Amino acid sequence: MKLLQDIYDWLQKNLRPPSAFSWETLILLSLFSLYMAFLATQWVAELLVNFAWIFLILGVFWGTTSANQFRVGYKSPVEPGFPLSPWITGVLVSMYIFSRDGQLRQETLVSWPIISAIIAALPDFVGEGPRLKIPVPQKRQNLVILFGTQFLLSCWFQFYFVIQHWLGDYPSLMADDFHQSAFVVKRELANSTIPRGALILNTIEPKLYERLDGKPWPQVERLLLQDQRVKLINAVEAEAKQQISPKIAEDAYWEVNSAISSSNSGYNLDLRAIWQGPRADLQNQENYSVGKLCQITPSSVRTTPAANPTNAQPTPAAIGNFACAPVRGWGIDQPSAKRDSFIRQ
Amino acid sequence: MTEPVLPLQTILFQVLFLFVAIALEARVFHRRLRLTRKHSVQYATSINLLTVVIGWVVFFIVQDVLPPDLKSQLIGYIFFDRLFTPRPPGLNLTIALAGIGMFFAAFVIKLKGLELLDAIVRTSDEWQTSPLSSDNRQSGLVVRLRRAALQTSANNAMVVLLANAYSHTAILLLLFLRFLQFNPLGREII
Repeated sequence: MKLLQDIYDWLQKNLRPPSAFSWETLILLSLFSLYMAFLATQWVAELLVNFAWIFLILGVFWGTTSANQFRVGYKSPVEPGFPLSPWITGVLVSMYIFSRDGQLRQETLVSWPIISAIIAALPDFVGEGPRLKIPVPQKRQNLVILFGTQFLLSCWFQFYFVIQHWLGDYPSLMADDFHQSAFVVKRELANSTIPRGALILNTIEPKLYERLDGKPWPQVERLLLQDQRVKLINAVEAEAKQQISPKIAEDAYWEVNSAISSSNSGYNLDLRAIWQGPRADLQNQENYSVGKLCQITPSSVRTTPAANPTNAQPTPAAIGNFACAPVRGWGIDQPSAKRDSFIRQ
Repeated sequence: MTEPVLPLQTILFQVLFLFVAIALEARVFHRRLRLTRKHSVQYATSINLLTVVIGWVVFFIVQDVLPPDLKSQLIGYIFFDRLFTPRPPGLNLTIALAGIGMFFAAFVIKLKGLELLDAIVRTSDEWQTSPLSSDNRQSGLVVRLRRAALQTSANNAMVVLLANAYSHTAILLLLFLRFLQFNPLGREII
């Protein structure tokens, strides 16, 4: 109690507001509540923090409303100009409602213009007394336009968040070119997005390794026949998409194809993940794919023959050997200048 | 989580189209409804703001419930100005129907908005002589609002339909010019 008395004395001496009835008093009350909240516990602390917010909001509203610096185009009391105080206070109110924990949320930004409009309209709704009243007819037209513009502003903020949401569902779009868009602009940054197809191919690789590496060579060759290969690739593609989490909407638009060609002793398996989803350039589909080249070669047995006692194959000594190169293609090895040139033509 | 993608063009185009619509519609209201110039501009501004805000809200709801194939087409259109292939069947029909639906929805919102706005902003004396109301009795705000909500004069409807047609035509023309800029005639259009 002694300590509080000291602090109170100190505050009174140094931070004394010009009069008891002023906005500075409210700010001080807010600080005082915050200080008390640190000392208090549980629900008392919670209550005091709320009081601190409310005093701060009222104090800032009062302070910014009374100061002419916070009016755009202020000339004289007759021409008061446009008040900014509702929007300054609005920041605090929407933070008080939606981000009291200090985390900026979608709701905080989206509700800010609407809350500010309500604050700006409040004086017109308060009559003598003070009682609630319907604004006078001369003010009503301005209020309608005020709310219209502020709701529109909120919609624009909301649209920004909808776009962010879409990019969460379709992250590979960030690797594409937005120049044609009539709606959005992308700030070019150093870090480029690697399309999700690369992740899909990299997830497929160990699954193919499991199935092909170290297996008897005739079995490997059989799996690489057209029909068997398509089945195999579809199976590992489905497995890979199942495995990469979280699953997102974009996955449905990635298609994995394979092509095979024989090399000197074995085969080259060309895996290709093709983007079938929204894209800027519709003519050059091949630009929207990532590829991975894998080599399958026969090699002599590493296990003892006893491990395969019932082997009836004509070449029991050979087994498959599976190795892949890193992913190449869209968004990875194409210089961005080249990508721009084919889009711009 | 946040990507550096901003809807700047959306905002610029919306502001441009709002100015075009307000200018054209205010002119129609001034000439056909004999409103003062100031009133026409204020009324046109209010009802157009109301229309775009309702439009946005509908858009936010629709994009959330759209089937995946239509939603990805919408996303492709917004990011790349393209409807990618393969397209779901009936896409063109869906877009055409949506366009027609939007035109008439805008018409209804503007008509009711105009009549309600007139009931709100006028004093009861002004309301008696308002070109928009067919009512010449003195009445309070609540009564005026109820009458405006329930009754519509054929003349108001014709004028708003005309104004709406003007502004939509002008906006379509601007959109067509933009389309030409990116797809010059003679180049194959996909």
